[in-house]
Amino acid sequence: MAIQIGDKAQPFTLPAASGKTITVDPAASVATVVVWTCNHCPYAMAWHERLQQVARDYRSKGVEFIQINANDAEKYPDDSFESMQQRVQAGELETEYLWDEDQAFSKSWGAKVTPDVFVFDSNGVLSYRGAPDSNYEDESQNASYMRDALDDLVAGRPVRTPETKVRGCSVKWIINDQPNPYI
Amino acid sequence: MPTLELITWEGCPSTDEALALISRAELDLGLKLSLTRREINDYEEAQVASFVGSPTFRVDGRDLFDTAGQRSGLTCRIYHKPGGKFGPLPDFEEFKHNLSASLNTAGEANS
Repeated sequence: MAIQIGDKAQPFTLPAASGKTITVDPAASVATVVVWTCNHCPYAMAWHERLQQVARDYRSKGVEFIQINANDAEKYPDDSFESMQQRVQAGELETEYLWDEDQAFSKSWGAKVTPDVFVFDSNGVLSYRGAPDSNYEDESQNASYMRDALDDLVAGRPVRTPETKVRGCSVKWIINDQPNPYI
Repeated sequence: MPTLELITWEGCPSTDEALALISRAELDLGLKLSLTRREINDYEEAQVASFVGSPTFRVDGRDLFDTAGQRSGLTCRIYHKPGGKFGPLPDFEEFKHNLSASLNTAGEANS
């Protein structure tokens, strides 16, 4: 059962491309951002720099930001752990880049596409789920959906728009028993 | 008459935009294309069809864009955009240019 807006998320632990093993507690920060992304999806690539800028801009406000790749690396080698490590070593990511190799965690949360944005409040409650902004092609959108959600949480307000429609490449499941996000 | 084939996969949300791109190119180039559609349904079919992502555009079987370094699979296709950027659809001007060139080449070959 995927987590829904209003659900409380439990802490989770995954290996990171940095070489560390990272435990994320969504209730440990003023807000926590978890983004499913990958190395080869054009939507993830188009939104990538906007996402990294959000991580930079909100770090000083106490926001935790994590990115996760769960794609099947056997069929899609561009999304292998080694490729993740190369990107991290090249300085392409502002945050820890976690690997959900067996995809169990991603399925439990109901991740659908890359990018797929989850934002939690200080109690670990899912408060925003959806796209970074309304248009992957328009950089001036500046990840406004995410920023609005984070601004609200940092200010202690309810998130004004808790859910938007995701848009991206479907997560590449090893066993594709997940619904197509576009049907 | 050369045929433009649009090859897509339903797990990628760009099909409507790809069709709009084709319509816009038809208007700009002042022609009506013979368009066929093909849907790729599974990973194995993608391998057989050398399908490097959705959407793929081919004229008489030839891809309108470079496929070097791209792997076959059920995925959204990466297109290089002006300014070193990437996107799920080709740049319109490049699409129009490549389409026009491919139609001319195919027309000469068929004449």
